[in-house]
Amino acid sequence: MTGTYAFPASYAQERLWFLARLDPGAPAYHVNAVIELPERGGPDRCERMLDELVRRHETLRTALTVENGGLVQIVQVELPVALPRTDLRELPPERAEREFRALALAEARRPFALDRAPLWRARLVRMPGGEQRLVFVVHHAVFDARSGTNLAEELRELHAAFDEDRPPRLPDLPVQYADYAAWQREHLGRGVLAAQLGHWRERLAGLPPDLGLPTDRPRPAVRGHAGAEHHLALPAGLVDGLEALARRRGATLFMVLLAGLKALLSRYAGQSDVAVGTPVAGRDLPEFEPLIGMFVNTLVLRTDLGGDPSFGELVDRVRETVLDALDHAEVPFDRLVEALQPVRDTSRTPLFQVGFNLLPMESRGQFPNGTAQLDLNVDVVRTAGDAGVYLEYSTDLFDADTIARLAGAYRLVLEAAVADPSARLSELPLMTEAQRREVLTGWNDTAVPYPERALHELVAEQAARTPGAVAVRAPDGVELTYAELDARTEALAGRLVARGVRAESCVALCLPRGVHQIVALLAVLRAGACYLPLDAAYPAERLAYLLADSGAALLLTDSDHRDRLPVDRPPELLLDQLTECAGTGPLPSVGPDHLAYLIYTSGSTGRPKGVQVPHRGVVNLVTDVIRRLGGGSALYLTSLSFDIAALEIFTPLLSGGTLVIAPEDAARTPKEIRRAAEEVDLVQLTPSVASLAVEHLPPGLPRAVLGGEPLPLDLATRLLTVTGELWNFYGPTETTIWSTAYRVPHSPATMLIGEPVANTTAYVVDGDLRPVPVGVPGELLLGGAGVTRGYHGRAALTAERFVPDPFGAPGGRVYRTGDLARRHPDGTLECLGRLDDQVKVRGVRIELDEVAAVLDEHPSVRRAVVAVRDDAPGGRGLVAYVIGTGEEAELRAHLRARLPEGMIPAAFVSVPDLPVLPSGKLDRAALPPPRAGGATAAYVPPRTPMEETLAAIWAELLGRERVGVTDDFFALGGHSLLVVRLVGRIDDEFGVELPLRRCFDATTVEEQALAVLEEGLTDADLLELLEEEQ
Amino acid sequence: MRDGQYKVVVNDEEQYSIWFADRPLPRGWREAGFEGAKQSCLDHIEQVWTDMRPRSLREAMGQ
Repeated sequence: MTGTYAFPASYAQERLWFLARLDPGAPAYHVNAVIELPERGGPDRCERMLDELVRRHETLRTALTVENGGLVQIVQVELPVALPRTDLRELPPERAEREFRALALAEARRPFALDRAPLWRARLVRMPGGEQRLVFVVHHAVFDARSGTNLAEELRELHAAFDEDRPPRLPDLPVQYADYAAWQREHLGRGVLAAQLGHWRERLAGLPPDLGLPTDRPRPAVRGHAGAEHHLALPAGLVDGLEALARRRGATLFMVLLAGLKALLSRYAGQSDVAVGTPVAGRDLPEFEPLIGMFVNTLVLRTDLGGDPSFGELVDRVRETVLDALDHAEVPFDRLVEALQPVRDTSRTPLFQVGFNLLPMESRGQFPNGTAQLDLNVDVVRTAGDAGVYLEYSTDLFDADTIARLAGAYRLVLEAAVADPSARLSELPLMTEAQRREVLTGWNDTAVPYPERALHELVAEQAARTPGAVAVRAPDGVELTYAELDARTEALAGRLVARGVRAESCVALCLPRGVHQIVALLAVLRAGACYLPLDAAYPAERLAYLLADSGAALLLTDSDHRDRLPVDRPPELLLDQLTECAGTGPLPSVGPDHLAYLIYTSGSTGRPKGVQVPHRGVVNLVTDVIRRLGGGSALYLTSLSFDIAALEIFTPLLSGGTLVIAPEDAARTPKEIRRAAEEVDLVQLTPSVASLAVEHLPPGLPRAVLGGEPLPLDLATRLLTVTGELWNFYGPTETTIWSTAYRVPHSPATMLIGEPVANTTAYVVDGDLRPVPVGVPGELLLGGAGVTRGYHGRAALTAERFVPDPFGAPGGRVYRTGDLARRHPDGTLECLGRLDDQVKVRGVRIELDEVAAVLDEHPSVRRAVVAVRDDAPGGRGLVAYVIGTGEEAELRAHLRARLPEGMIPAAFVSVPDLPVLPSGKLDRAALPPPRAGGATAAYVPPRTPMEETLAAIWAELLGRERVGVTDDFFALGGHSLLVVRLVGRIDDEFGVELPLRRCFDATTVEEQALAVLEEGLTDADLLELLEEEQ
Repeated sequence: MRDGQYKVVVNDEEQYSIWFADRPLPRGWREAGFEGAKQSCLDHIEQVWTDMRPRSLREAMGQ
């Protein structure tokens, strides 16, 4: 081997070298091309041409290595070229084409060792038609898009020169890449870097760390590089229109295409602050133009899309963004990252996650190699007439369908923008007519007949059909047949009418769960009134408020409960002290639009509000449940003050089954549930209650309905061991008990809420009530037979929450649930939590249930919930509450391995059980505060020689007096290049080559010491340890 | 629904609600003659919508 020279590396090389070290072996930073060559001259000529290229360009003889803590380019003076060849000429053309593709892909994916020149490889393939194809694969550290153009041109000229037997006419190369690297350092050193950095600091202040593009799968803790590509054609007419639009606004095609992409991303992500990355050539001096090498820099193009601008205005804004960025294009991207986002997040790329570029065809000689450098990269390739869009995406995050839909939406946005540049952002279509019809109509085709009757009429009809069957059974064994129930109901209803109860009156019920209560409830309905359930366990103040706000005309209670009620109360009727009745009035006729009950719900703010629920919705839902799940006996377990109790009561009473009453406090004494549940076909539980009760449920339970809270996957799995049929229901009180139903399959991957129940419509919309495409989160609107009358005495609130249905039957109303949901490709709905609970920690949107679900997977965790609290250590943040035996460190490590850093709770609180509201839902307000103090920022001195040495290395690298073993490397100012030096120093001191990636998982001295120990152990050591153990 | 200009609207059942002032009304709804900021529209509704029973029910009950 001949001699070598060493030169400092460029900034771009430092970055790529670092990225390559981070994921050794991943081909994400390979550039590849297929160059077609005429057959003349054969493979030998091709080899000589390559040899000439290598002689001309130092970069093709360069490797990268670390010397004295800095990255250097090692250039070999000479590097002989041997071109491997494959002959496919004998194969049938199709087979040859297949072989070629496999061969090219294999070449493209084989990793390079960056410290060994050359950082490229080539193979010549001879095809059946006689043509020759040169597969050229090169590492991005020595090559960029312009290099590809230069390479192709030089090859063409060399070929021509051979043909004509003349010396090639190639451009002189007065400088080489190493000169550029030196020039760049000097140029930026003269204040340019500081000035431009200052500018970017201002431009990118407060940039959200995540664009918020909805993904199909949760983001892995460590970003992967698996990728795929989707292609979309833009017809010539559209491209012409975009160019004309660009001309009219004094912009370029690049700017208009970028404006379209930003509009699309903003609508998909529901975010108006949109940053997209783009490469710039970076060949700032004419001498650099003919070189092969890595000159490209990356710019962050951030635009504010707020205020719903027209597309034309948006183009103006994007034009400003682009021009401003180009004026400050010299700051190496890595320097920018270090200045703006020093704490590295291994789950996402820094500063931007979506890239964009517009390039001529010859610059994109690439074929997909199964990787993606970003979440999404959009390359638009301009050809003679039309244009092609290549969307490279991370397959960890996105499905092919999703990207195809997104690409289709991009084209729709561009078409709409050309057709009418004055269209506002919010008006740009994201769906085709067919897609729109599917989400609005196709998936809401739920019309089924149901009885237009009142609930008690249907119970009376059932009594006429099965008078002798047992209608109600109490825990003490007392039973009522349907005939008895009907007779007692009628008698009490008559009394109520005599006491002045009329249609649309409100009657308060304060009775323990039991036969009396059921009779009273039906009697209230039969008298034409609606019932207001009162739970005697509620605070006196709340009871007084409910009685006053509802204007209840009468109170049905017994002598036990009367004294617990406020003094100021309506006239009462004590069911245990009924005297001989003076006479009864005629029973009124009651229709489906009369109210059946008034249930108070507490929002997160303001006074509880009474939801007025007519008979219609309850009849519709119960009819549908009986049709879908079957009728029969059901367990009455839920407190009557929670609306879902009505389903437990009316499902048996409308299908001839028995209403089996659970003991009053069964929800809190799960053993009681078992006895009661043994006799029934259907049990309805909230997940909070189910997690306590699941161990006590009798195996062989025919059906279980879960709802009211998110159903954790592992709880669903456990429930499926006791019941053959598990349903996850969803719905607010405002649309009557449940509005969507999902039959939970065995081993579900994601918990869904299914499809709308009968005669119900569900729409997922954006903030302007426009439907969003499949996969995009939006507010869930519910319409149809379940829509209730509104909030008692609260006209303004009713008008705000119950709004005109823009898509359904004329004059209809939809209820805005305030819940975030999205459609899966088959139309199934997934609920993503409350809209106004959207928690953002350091700007990243967090799904609390997702964190809890991952905690639940840990074997020592029985149940976990995660809350956002202002009193978390270090201010507003996540707190995890865990039932189980897991140690905090263990749980933290479990989460860290699975979730991005932003989703790791600041505190873990071990609790014996979780507080539950009378409704059976988790009582978030009653969760205890996390312990004060904690391990924040206290100095912990090194305890072992290894920690001592590591802490000293850190202190030196970070320029600190001392470093504690729990301090975080990145929080102390560590950055990517320091990590490289750290790894070098660890190797020097301990003789252990710590993979770079480990330094991002083990970010404290303490953790790093362990990592070094683990890495340092050889198999022989391990064997020895094992033997010692034995 | 974001801030901005709204209209008070009403349907055949004389149920009130609000709708974006600059967008066509959904079918089956008509303007109730009040336009303004969201909160003013809601305040107006609080004044005028005093019987929340749907019109058909009110009529069936003979009032």
